[in-house]
Amino acid sequence: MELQIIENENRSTLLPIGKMCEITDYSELKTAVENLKSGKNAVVIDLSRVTFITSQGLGLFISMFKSFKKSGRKFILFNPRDDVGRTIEATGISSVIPLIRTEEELNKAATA
Amino acid sequence: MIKTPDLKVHNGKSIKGYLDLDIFHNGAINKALEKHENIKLRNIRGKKRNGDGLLLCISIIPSVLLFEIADFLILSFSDLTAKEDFHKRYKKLYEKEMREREKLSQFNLRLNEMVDEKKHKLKKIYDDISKELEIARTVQDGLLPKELPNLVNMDVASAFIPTGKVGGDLFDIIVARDRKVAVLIFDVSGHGVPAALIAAMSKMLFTYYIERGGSPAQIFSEINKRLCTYIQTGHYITAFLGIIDPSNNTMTYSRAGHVLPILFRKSNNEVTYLHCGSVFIGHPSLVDIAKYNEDTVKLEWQDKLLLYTDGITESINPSGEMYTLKHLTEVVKDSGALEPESLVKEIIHDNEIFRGGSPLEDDFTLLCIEFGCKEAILSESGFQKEDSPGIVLINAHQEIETVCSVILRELDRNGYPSNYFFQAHLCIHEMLSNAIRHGNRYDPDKKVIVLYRVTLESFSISVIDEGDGFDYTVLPNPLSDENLLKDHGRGLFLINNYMDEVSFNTKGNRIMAIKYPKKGKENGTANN
Repeated sequence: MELQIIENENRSTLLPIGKMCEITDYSELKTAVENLKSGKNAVVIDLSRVTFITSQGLGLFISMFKSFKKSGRKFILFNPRDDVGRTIEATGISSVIPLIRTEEELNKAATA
Repeated sequence: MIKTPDLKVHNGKSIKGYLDLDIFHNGAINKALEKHENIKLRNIRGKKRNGDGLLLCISIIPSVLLFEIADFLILSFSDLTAKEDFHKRYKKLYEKEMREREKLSQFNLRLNEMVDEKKHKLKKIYDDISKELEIARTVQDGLLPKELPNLVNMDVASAFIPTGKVGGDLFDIIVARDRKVAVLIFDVSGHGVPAALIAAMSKMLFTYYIERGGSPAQIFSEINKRLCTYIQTGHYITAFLGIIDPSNNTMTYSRAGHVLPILFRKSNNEVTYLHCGSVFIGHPSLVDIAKYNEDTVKLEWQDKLLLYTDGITESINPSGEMYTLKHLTEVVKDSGALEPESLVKEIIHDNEIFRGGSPLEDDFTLLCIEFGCKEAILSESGFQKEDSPGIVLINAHQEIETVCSVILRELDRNGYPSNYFFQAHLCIHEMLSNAIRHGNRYDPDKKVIVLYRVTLESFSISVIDEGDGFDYTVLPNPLSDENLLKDHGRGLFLINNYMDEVSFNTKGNRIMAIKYPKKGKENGTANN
């Protein structure tokens, strides 16, 4: 899994690419998230290029969400592919973490 | 001091049972001595007529008495002077004779010592060579697998009966890349230390190339190039290499001049031979021209592959008849339904009876492999024997995606819709991940056995770990408020959601899940 980091005015976006299923992938993602902890803007995981995700990955999103919530920051899951999105919804995670599918909604959610 | 032996001296009378010879009948005396007859010599006197009768008499006495040519020598003297003269001269000559004999005896003793010394040296050389050969034999034995790998998808038995000579038979079963299993047997031409050295070298090359990956023909080709360079003695090897792919139960094989492997088909109790032959390996004349063919054969449950060397088929009975492939085939056909170990014993027994006490001329090597899951594992898995599931083994998290790929390819081959692949992938991954993480707790010594079956009607998968099991009757619902913010506990939920049937064994270390693609559940709908 590759990982790109895009810094915008109101949000930091992490863009994982490929399958999120290996422990090492999560280590990389964890480190990247750790580096964002000193900021104040919203943290967005852009899932548009994630083709596969496991329950471990979903659990990691919950941990990240809780961690950023403590410091009063937003944590958003953005634009998943159908399969990934359905899995996030099936597990009830989308009822806890905002799951946003359009750029417009994302702008609103990140700045709200 | 030399002691003069007693002589029985008889004065004149003829004694029955003895040759009564005149002292001057030399020819008759010699003939009598040759026949070991007792002799009576008469008319012994001093120098008269044709020679010295006393001297002749005295010279034959020691030979007669000391060397036990005759029991008695009876002397008859013509007069008293001759008798006294005899005693005097006899004693002197006898002592001289004995001194000569003593010298000869000493010489013989020394000669014997020298012979013993040479014999001792020769024995030491022989012992040293024997010891070297014994070491070579031990090295060769060490190249044979100590124990064959315990594979869940095949049962293996082997026999190696050495003739005592250092030879070049070797076999092995090697777990290659992607859980493929290589079965190898080869035989170096000739015997002795050169054959053993070439066998050792070949074994290392085979192990290296098999573990590196590649098809049997490619591996033979690579090894031929190497061995043609290394072997300068005219030796060569014959070999069979089969690489079994547990993901689709097939074996790709190549045969380089080796005796024909026998495949026993359980479905019809028939035997076939794995031909696909090519030239042998390693002879310098083959360096640029050898081409190796390969073929692929489908393996069904309880089929048996029998590999051997010509030590069996060319063994000979007391009438000079050869055991032959035909004979071996008949035994396999008659006893093919036996377990591998019993079949191997049966072949050894049959060959012993055939040989009728004749010793083996060559090493006797036999390897029998039965395909299919072992009964205990099969019954634990939830599959039936007739399902003939594919079997894969893993023990590390990093291997999960490889297994996923293997099974997803099967789904693709069976025309499963592409929108199901994500779900199937997720379920396989979750089942294997749970087994390695929670079941085996990442213990690399523990394995996870994956059995699967894909048909047009259903996709079934069973995963068995070596952990203590868990209580599957109390599964937390990740959708409930108290669990929504937990970072774990969603794997089984997703499996339940995406598969149509999910079951566990009593211990809780085996999960089986089935998907019926034609009736499946609504995608993505949680059902807890």
